[in-house]
Amino acid sequence: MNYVITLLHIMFLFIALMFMFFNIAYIKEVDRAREHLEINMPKTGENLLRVNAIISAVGVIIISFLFFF
Amino acid sequence: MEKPIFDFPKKYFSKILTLPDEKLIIARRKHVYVLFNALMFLSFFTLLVIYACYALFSFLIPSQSLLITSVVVIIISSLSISTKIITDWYFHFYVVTDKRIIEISHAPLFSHTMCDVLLSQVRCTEIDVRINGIIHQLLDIGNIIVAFDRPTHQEEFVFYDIKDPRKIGAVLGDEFTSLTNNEAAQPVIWSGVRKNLKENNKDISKFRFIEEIFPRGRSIRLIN
Repeated sequence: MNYVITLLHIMFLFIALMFMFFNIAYIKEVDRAREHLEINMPKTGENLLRVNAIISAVGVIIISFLFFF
Repeated sequence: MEKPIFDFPKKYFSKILTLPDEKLIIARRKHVYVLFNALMFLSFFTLLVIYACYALFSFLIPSQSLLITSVVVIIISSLSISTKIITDWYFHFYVVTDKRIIEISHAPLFSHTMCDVLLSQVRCTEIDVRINGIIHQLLDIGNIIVAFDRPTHQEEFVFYDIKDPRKIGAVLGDEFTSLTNNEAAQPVIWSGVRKNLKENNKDISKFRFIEEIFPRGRSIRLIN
């Protein structure tokens, strides 16, 4: 049973990491869209993306903490 | 014609309006209601998965840390997906100028589509406005279908889930009518028909005749 729990932990950690990197890359890509289209996201939109990236980073930290300790 | 219909400031379009003397007429996104549907479905699905994880990690594989981990992952993923839905909506818009119709759909990290119809190269044959359903009627959301008659085939350009479809349809109709009044866009007919049209008191000002374009003395013989 412990083996399954460890495997599931690793899987969830991997998914959370994937979403964290996705969110960081997404912010970069939205910045590039500004150069291509000159359509700026409003400040609230940019903040939403940043908050999302921070939440996913905090999530990764929580999951790592639960996994290692 | 009515005032231009913009959702966003005109300065944003300096990289889109590239043709000389191009005048912006309409710039619209899909209605926000489209987002509401997707986000509602996503939140419902998230709650369902959280409940399933609660059942799984409380009874089948009892582990408190796994329960917390799974809930955190589900929240992160649903937030990321909802952000993507909102951003995709934000970067999908329709632009109509006096020279062309443009649909821009930019999904950061995934795709970039720019569909451009040059109005001087096509003839608009039909503008349909479709509003389906009670909610769409109440919120005034609908599709505008513009049919073009291209030399080879018929093509349609659809504005999906646009706010004020009737008003925008009327503006598009006015704009296309003013385009077809240009001499270059007038239909060309055989000169022999001119006599019949005159006899039946038809207005011939809207037609150009082949002989006016290719005068007899200067025409080229194609038959040996």
